[in-house]
Amino acid sequence: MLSPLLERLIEDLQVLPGVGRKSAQRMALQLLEKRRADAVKLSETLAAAVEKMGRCEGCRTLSETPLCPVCESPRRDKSSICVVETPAEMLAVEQGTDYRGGYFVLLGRLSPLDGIGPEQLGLDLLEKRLAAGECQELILATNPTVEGEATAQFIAQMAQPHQVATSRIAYGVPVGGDLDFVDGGTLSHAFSSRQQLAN
Amino acid sequence: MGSNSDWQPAWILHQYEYRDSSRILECFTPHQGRIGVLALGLKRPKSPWRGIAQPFRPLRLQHNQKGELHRLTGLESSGPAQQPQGDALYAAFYLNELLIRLLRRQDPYPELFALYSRSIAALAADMPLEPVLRLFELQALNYVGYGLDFANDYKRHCAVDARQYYAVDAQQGVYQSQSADLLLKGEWLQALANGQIPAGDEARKAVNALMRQLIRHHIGDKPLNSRELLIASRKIQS
Repeated sequence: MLSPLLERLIEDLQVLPGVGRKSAQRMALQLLEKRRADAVKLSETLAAAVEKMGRCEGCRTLSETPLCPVCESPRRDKSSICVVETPAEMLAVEQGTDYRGGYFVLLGRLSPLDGIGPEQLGLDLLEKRLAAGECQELILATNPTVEGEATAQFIAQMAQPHQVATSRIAYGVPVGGDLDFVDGGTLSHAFSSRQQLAN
Repeated sequence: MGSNSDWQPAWILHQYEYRDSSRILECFTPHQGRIGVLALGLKRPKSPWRGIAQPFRPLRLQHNQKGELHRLTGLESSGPAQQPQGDALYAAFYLNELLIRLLRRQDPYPELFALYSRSIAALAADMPLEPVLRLFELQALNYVGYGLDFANDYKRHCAVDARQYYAVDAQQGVYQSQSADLLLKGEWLQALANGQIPAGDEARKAVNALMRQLIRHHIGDKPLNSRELLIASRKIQS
C-alpha cells in the first residue's frame, strides 16, 4: 500500500514519453528521498514553463516571449525559412546542420485522414511571411513520409506566386551505412535524386 | 498465440500512433478486406519495416491473428512505390479515405483491391484525375453492393432511353423525370451501366454530382477531408 500522494505522483509521472510504472516509481522515490531541493525547483520550473511558454508569433515554435530567440536574433539570415513539422525537428536541424536562417514550425503535417488541413498548420501565417517579401528561399524539411510529401507539395504550390526559391531536403543513404542494409524505399529515392560529380 | 497467416498483398491506407514506438496500420488486402494490424516497434530506428510502411507502396504482409487483434509479423515491398504528385497525391488520399469510410473491417472484396491497385497506378502515372476518380467511385459502389441499375427505369420497368432525362434515388435506381435537382441524360446512364464515364463537360459535372450524392448517402454527411484538400489546392493554383 502506498501513501495516496506518492501514488498520485507515480501516476502523474507516467505522462512522460517512455515512462512506465516502474520508472515513474524510481523517479518519485529519488525526488522524495534524495533530491528534495531539486524536486522543489523542478516543480517551480514546470509550473512557470507551463504558464509562460506560448507560441512564437513568427515561427510558431515554443517561446516565452512573443518572438522566439531565433526569430528575434539580428544575426540570423532572414532571407531563408526552413519549414519543419515539430519543434523537436527544428532543434534537430539547428543542432545537426550549419543552417542559420529562420524557421517555420507547422506543429503537424497535412493529413486529411486525420482531419488536419492547411488551416490547422498555420499556413496563413506562413503565407503572410512570404508575402512580406523578406524571404528569398524556402527550404521544405518536412518528413519523408507520404503526409510530409503532401505537405511539402502544398506549401510549394502556395509559395509559387511569391517568387521564392523553394527546395525540398534530399532523402538518402545514412552516412557511414552499408547499402545492403538500406531499405528499398530509401535506396530508390537516393537513386532518383543522385547527383552528378563535378570533374 | 495464433499462427502466422500466409503472405498476402496489401496496401496501407492509413496509420495511427500506438504507444511510443508502435503503430496500427490500416491495411487493405484482397482476401481479408480492410484490417487493422498492430506493428510493434515500427517507429524504432532499427525496425526493418519503418522505411516501407507507407501508403501507396505495394506491399506483402504476414500477420498473426489472435481474436480481433492482428499483429504484424512480416512486411516487405512488392514493387516500387507509386508516387502520385501534386493533386494526384491528394486524390490518392481521397481513395484511401473513401475506402476507410465505405468498407467495414474484414469484408473481402478482391475485385475492389485490384481496382484500387490500378487506380493508384493511374494516379502515379499522372493520368487525368477525374475519370480515374469517377470510375473508382462507380465500381467501388458496385463491388460493395451499393451499385444501382443505371440501364433500367425502376418505376416504369423499361430500359433507359438515351434521349430522355432521369432522376436518381440512391436506394432504388433511376426514373424518368423532368424536375429534380439532378437530372441525368439517358445516354450517360447507359455509359455508366457499361462501366464507362461519359465524356463532355455537362456529363462530367452531372456524373460528379451523382457520385457525390450516392457516396454521401452511404457514408453519411461528414465531409471527406481529402476532397476538401483537393479543392483547397485547386484554389491556390488558380
